[in-house]
Amino acid sequence: MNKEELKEYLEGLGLEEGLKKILFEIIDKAPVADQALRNTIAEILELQADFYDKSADLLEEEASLYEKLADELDAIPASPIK
Amino acid sequence: MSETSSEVSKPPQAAEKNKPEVAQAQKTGAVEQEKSFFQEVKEKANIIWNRFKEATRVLLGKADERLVMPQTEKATEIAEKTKTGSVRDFFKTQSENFRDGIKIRGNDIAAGWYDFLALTNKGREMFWNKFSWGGAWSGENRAKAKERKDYAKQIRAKNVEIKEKARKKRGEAEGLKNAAANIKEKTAAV
Repeated sequence: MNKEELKEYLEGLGLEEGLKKILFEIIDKAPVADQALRNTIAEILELQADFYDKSADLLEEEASLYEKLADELDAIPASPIK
Repeated sequence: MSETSSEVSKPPQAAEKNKPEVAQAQKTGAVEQEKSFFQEVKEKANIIWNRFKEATRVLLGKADERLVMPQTEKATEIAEKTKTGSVRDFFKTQSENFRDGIKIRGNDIAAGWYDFLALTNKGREMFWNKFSWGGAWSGENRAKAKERKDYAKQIRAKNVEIKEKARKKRGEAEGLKNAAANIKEKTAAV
């Protein structure tokens, strides 16, 4: 897998533009597509995967706050007259 | 004499109702009812809201601790290794934006909250109108109560939307982990 093939592979992943730009910048800077470069690219993809995982955890916590708030609001009586 | 006998023949309950002290007692009862109900709503609402605000504050702290700081730290390492400062900037901004998104969604909920309180105050006002001028309090209040329920529904909808977002992110994470492993494997093959 040379530099162009590596770029082509990354292109097919449907990455965010900003991330793709960074990866391409790193590939362009490197003299060859060696083991070190590929490991760096993999490391960045893993960091982005970690971002997605952690943000999913936080989103789930956030969602549970909203669920609790809605439950509690529903439990407030609406009227003093039955 | 006939007037006296007519008064005597009035049903005791009706006569009772017309007495000013009874009307006053009813009004006093209403005041007590109003005080206890709206006081209770206000207290409960404040407790719920303060709990939500505190939970959001804690969540924002977790976002910093579990996402912004480690992501920025790791991205800084990669940036130094590759001499590409944009790596650090990208991950730092991305995680900070995510954290700020939690804050913004919380603020949206807060905006609805003030409407919720206004509806409660409106209910209180209508309650008073009923006793002062005999307004159609019950029907109007039911409408306001429905609006309040709608607020809870909006929050539930947000909950569903956020859960879906989390599910998609999990899928994206899996895709990238596979891609990273694939790149490493291909490295070995080349």
